[in-house]
Amino acid sequence: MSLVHRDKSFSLWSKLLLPAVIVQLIGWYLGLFWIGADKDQGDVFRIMFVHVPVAWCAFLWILCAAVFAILGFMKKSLFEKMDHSAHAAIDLGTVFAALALATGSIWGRPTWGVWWDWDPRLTTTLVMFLICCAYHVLRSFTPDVQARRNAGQIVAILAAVNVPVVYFSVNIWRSLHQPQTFVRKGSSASSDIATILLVNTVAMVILSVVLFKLRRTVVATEEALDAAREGKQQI
Amino acid sequence: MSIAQIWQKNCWLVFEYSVRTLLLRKASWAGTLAFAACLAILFPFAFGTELIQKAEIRHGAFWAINEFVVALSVARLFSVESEGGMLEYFLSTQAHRSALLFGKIFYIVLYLLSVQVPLLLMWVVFYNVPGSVVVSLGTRIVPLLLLFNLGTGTIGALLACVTARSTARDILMPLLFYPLQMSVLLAAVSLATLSDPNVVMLAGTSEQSWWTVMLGVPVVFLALGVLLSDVLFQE
Repeated sequence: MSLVHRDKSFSLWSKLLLPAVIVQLIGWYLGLFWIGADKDQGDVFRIMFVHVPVAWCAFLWILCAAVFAILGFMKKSLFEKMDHSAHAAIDLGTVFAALALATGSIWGRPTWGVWWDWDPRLTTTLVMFLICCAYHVLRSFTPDVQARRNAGQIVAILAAVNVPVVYFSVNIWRSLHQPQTFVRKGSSASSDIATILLVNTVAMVILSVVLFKLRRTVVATEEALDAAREGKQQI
Repeated sequence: MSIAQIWQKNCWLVFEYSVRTLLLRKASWAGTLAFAACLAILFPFAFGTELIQKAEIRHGAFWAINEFVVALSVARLFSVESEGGMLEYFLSTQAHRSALLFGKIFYIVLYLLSVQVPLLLMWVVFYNVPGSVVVSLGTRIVPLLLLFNLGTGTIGALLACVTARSTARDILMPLLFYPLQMSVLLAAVSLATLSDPNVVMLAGTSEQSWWTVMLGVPVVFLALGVLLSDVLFQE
């Protein structure tokens, strides 16, 4: 019954998929064809319209995972649900962090001349990605369900500690990476770029919410199946 | 007796028990020091005996050795207690779990310092550290080592609890530990290198930022340790 209920819940969220795809297509059209090439970087700068939204989504979902974990610890009745949510959020955080690293690297090659530089922003993002990977390894190597949930939730909170470090790394340390785009006055982004970036970010966030719901359903179903298998083996 | 006094007493009890156990089992301390000595000999061969004379490499090697020593030590942080059944005893008492965590953190800080003092002498001799460097490092090495130990020790203690019930603890501990403590290592290396009169630092290198990292990491993780101590220590 619960699985059927979850499916219904997901079908409601899946309705967001169409607007997300439409907004994303508009965002990509604006980024690829509407706005002109950058004076210094040429067409390479257009990857920013993918790179920045995925990086923000990585921050968002890793922070969400920590919030879910904290809520789970605070309210014991929600512990299982929050564990599923935190797990799904870390999954998304891992994928988005990997995409942010990959797109950043693709941008870095023609701009900086190297695929990788030990720049504070890049290094801290890599660390954030590695912690997310460690979360998955920890879960798969902890057989006891309760211990797995506790350990997973703690690591989800620890992973979030790194998010402000990544975000402010360009301010704290001398960095090749450009500073925060929208925080400071007189930022490097023009209003056109900022608008397109905003459209792409909104699209990516909506898409990620749908993916989160889908992944959360899969996580819950997998856990229910594992529990059923273990029960069958014991019989 | 007030709650604070009881907490302090429990913390001291755990610390005292750990120190007494260490005094009884001196072999583990000697083994850790021998491991550090092996690494101190290994690095000049790995980097080349000429390159190791360079100031930046020399400082990096010292902190890298410390890093491996910490990883080895924190992996065995609760092993004596769990082998002897003492951990169950502590957990069955009314003592607050954070007192147990703090007692172990203070112990690991002291334990690491006791290994680092002879290691520092080895480093000065084996790496031909000039007298001027030793003098300039002299004023800041103690606070640097204490903060490094506190930061890495706190992270290590938290992770030792998180991975306690995992099957592949040997893989998980370094996988979680190294990414999380990277900022402490970076800060320690940078601050040690900054004190070296032979090193010309690039413009914009902020000493204050690194001290903030060195102080901030233990504060954040100690706070997390207190908040999560009930979850961390579950039978």
